[in-house]
Amino acid sequence: MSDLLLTRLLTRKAGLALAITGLGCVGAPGLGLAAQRAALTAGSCGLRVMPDSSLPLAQRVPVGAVNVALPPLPSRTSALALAAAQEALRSAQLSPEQCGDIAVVVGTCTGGMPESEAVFLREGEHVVSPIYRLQLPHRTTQTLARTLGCHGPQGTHALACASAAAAIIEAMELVRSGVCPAALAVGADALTRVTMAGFNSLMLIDPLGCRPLTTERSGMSLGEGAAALLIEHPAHARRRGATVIASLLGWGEHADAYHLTSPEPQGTQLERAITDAMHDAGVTRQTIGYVNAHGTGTRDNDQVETTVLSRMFGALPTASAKRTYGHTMGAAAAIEALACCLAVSEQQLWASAGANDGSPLTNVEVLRATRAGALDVVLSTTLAFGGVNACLAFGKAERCA
Amino acid sequence: MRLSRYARAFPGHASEGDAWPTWVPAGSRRRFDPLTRLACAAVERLLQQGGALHPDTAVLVATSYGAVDFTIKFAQSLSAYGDAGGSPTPFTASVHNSCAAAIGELLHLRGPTTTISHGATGPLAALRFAHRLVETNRAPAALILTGERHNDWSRRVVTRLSGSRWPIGDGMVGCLIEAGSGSGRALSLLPPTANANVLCLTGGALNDFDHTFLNGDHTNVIAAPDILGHWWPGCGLAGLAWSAATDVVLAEIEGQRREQLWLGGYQP
Repeated sequence: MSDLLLTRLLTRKAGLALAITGLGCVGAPGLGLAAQRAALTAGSCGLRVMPDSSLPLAQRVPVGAVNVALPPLPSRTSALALAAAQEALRSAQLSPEQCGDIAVVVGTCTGGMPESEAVFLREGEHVVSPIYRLQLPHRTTQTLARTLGCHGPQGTHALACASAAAAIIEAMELVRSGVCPAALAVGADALTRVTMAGFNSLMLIDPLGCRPLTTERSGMSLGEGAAALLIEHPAHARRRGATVIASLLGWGEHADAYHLTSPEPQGTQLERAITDAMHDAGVTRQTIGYVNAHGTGTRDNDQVETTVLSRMFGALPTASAKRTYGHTMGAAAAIEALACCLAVSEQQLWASAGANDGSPLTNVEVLRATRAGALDVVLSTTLAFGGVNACLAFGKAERCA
Repeated sequence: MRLSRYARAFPGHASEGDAWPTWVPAGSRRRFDPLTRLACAAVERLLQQGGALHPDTAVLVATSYGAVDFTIKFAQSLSAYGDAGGSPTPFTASVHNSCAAAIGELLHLRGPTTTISHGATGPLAALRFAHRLVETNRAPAALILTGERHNDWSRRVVTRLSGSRWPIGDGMVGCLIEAGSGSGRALSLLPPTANANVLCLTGGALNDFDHTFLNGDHTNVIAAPDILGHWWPGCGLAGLAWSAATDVVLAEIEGQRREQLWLGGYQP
């Protein structure tokens, strides 16, 4: 580490720990926290081939599709986001009157693409349809803010698979800086033909369904879903008597500046992102009890990620949720953040779905089954197109008391 | 906190006939979409103002349509060859953050990065977030690139659906945010003093509500599209007279929600 980097790290103090007081999620396991908890506990596979799907590739490769009733909105991504956000506000016990100052920050890759690509591919590129109004990512953010009555700042991040990580980071900084007392961070993406065909063209899809963190892994599986976290200033949460589920302690993010689609093999910037997150959280390596890895199931991602984790932590308990949800793109980091919150809240180390379907990598401890454990701080790591590396640190509720 | 460098690029600066900046390797150029090409032109102008950027500089891009040319090329490949026949090259470059990734890779920038897609207020959201990143020492500086580069399809769609009374244009603004004193314009999230007479620069009101909203608080409003002759979401920053001594409030409206930032007069 250079002197300059070391100086910057040493002069930057740990940031304010924030309270997570509301969670919501919809994904392949279903809608609601109970469904997520059951799937995480079982380490179940949520991937299915969908013979009747309107997505041609989903008719022959397994995906993590959502099959529950969603709010009646013209955009599927917005409907997924709203379902998760409504649950998060309910679980935070926030009345509509208390939502006025709340910020809404969304991470999404595709926004309204499912609807716009359907028109484009069916009717041709010369047709201008009003449905195209929905395709821009910020339409989801506006829909949430308007429907939920949240009149605080808004933001929309389209940072590939790290979109939700960026949304959580911005939400966190909005609250830390005092711009708003609470922020709703949401990650959401629906399956689209373009995304499926794109990853298929890169030969990154495992026709058998992803097997993350195993030696047999041969690609990813796509999914759809949304997760929402209500992030509050701890004083605000205390004042209204909210129940704190977990603490959001810190973040780190660095770019590889290496390649658009391949991670830098040594994972130098991923290590910096993790180090920054721990520093922001004011914790040491010994405090970390569990990592929810990005774990896509591609050769390169899992190799780099476990190399870095083992270099930093040794054989730390590690899991990927991608076989449970599929890779939900812009929603992934939010869903995995939710898994981390539930892990520290319930003192459970979630299984890595699919670990028993292959030979788990040995440089970290890939969790074959869910087990109870004394967890203080856990990490969620995210890698994305464009060489993005992000890390979020979560702790027990008491850490933001 | 200040904007220490500022540059604009328009398609005329970045046509295929123009020279690429020397820091873009010849072998890489064919994989860059027109938006990234335009961003390269803006960044080249920024580099000419003060040399190389710190390797931990953050890179933030604000764009609504992103690399739409490559998105449409990929969709066309699906139309022509089916879902199993998509072309990988336009797919990878069509990802919304491909411009930020390319600039970061070309300039070896390893700070935090994101791409914000929030319509007209996206550029100000990027400035706000960049301000926070530098303020909290997450990065020594932040490079912000904000703009659009349409293809025929998106220009047709935006022309029909946006409600803009100006022609739909293209352009890219690049600026650098740094802490400390020096030349440039001070950047603040809130004006130091409320002054309705200060110049308000906006990307333009698209409807009567927005127009009333803007003119309700400011007496001296300039719509950047009136200067530029065309419009894209959040183009207000492109209308900035960089070296003028007057303070400016940047204001943009998206979905009946206003964002604004304050820029001090230029200090040499």
